[in-house]
Amino acid sequence: MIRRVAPIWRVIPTRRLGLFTFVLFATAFGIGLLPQPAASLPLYARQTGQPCATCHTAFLELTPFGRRFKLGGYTLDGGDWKGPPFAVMLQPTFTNTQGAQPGGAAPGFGVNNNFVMQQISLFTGGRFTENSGAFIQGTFNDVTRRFSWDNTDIRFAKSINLDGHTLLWGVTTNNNPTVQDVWNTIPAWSFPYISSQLAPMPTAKTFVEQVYAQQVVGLSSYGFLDDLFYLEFGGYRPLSTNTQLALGIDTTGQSPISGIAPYWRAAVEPNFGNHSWEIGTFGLASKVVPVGMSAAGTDSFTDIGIDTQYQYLGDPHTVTARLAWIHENHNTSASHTLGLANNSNNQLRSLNASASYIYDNTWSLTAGRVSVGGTADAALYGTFTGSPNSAGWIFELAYLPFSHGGPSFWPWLNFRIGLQYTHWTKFDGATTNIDGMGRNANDNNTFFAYIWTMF
Amino acid sequence: MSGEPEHASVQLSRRALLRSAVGATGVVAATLNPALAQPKISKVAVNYQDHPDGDKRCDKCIQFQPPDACKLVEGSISPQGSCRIFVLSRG
Repeated sequence: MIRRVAPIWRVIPTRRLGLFTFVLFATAFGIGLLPQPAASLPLYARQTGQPCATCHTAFLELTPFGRRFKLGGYTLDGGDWKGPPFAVMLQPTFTNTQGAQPGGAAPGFGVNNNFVMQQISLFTGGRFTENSGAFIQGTFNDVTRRFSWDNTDIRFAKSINLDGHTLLWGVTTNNNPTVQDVWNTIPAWSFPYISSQLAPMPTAKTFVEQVYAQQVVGLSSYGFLDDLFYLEFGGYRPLSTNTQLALGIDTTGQSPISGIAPYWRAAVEPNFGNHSWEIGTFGLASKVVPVGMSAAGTDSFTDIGIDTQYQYLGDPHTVTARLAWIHENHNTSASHTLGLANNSNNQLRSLNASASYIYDNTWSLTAGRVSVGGTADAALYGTFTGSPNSAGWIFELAYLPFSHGGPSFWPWLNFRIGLQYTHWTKFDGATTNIDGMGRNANDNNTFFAYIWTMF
Repeated sequence: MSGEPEHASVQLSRRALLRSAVGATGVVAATLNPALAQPKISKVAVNYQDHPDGDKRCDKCIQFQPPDACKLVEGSISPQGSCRIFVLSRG
């Protein structure tokens, strides 16, 4: 069983739009289209009157202000924008792999040196009321030529005083475990913030690493006590096949959650002067219907992660270090019965560590280490070696010319113009002959260039 | 052993939808209560200090609200203060 996220883009067939989907979107967009009292995502910049650099060291990475803006329900304003709350994202990209990809990098693409407008996204949301707001993204993917809903996070938040202590509490409904999180260690928002969709990626990943992105809907409540202690608990349930299809999600090969999957998050973030440090834990657990086949019952998994992030936020120098480690225990007894796994139990361990130096919110240099390892199971992972083990290094240089404000004709324009190189030391369990046809791990080394545009 | 997909089991039921609607109504009702305070950002999160940082002074910032408040940062704000999110007022 291959556990990569399936391609998720599909043209929305309106006649299949489920009632739940309709209510969710009608509410979100309906409220979003109401006249705003005033209104980084450029729509948030317009809402707050602040430049990108207020919320981001170098987008996507959040500053302490950005984290609290999100936890506060995207409600803070301060700008004089009177227009509708929308923003647009474009991602034109170029991908080169060390070895060509026989048959093409994807249907309709060449074996190497491919240009593509990887994503075109429309965002809405921001402040709905004093205490509610949202991040809502819809995306057209030109690799798969499909439109679908993308990351969505709708919140209610309120700050109260408890006997001398300040508690910021809230609830979030969202469609991707970890998308609601505010630290850049956790899967939905971790480095690399953008990757090529036309380069090979390791087969194995833990479930919490975006396997269920846009396939589920979740509700969780959270509290942030004294600007220091963060605690969140909630759960996710799968969307029906018809609902996913209506939202543009390709359901092929999915292994849906059975019932409700609990999600938890705890963290502490002390801030002192120019320093911000976070340490925490997170997790997701669930029963799983392997490849949608329930004849043998369910598998189950428990993912437990630990993470830490340090930021030095000087002027003009910023340094960030991030680390996340995830352990997964995967009971594959049902898959074993169905012949989809050799073992009845497997483990995976995932590491993502990176460090960035950022000059004046404008130049960003990052080095990162990614690895995944665990028990071998050829039927489960579908790799030639049977091993899920992969490891590599990622280096990136990015230029963000308008983090302190864009050109006078459109002050909310910003770019992240990046060059990224990924070097694989091991891929799907081997360094040489990773596929039985002579391809080596370093044939998947990738040079990736992009002009990430927001306005 | 059958290979039938388990699509039917993941449909949203009418009961679940009703529960969601009731919950959503509560949230919307709560959001319309004008007595609830809009969360602002703590001083420590923006490294607020009660003295200027070079030319950066709160009373020159677009977010300053005389005599002693900020649209974004909570608490009493000194006009002579400064913080990490300073933006020079155009006025």
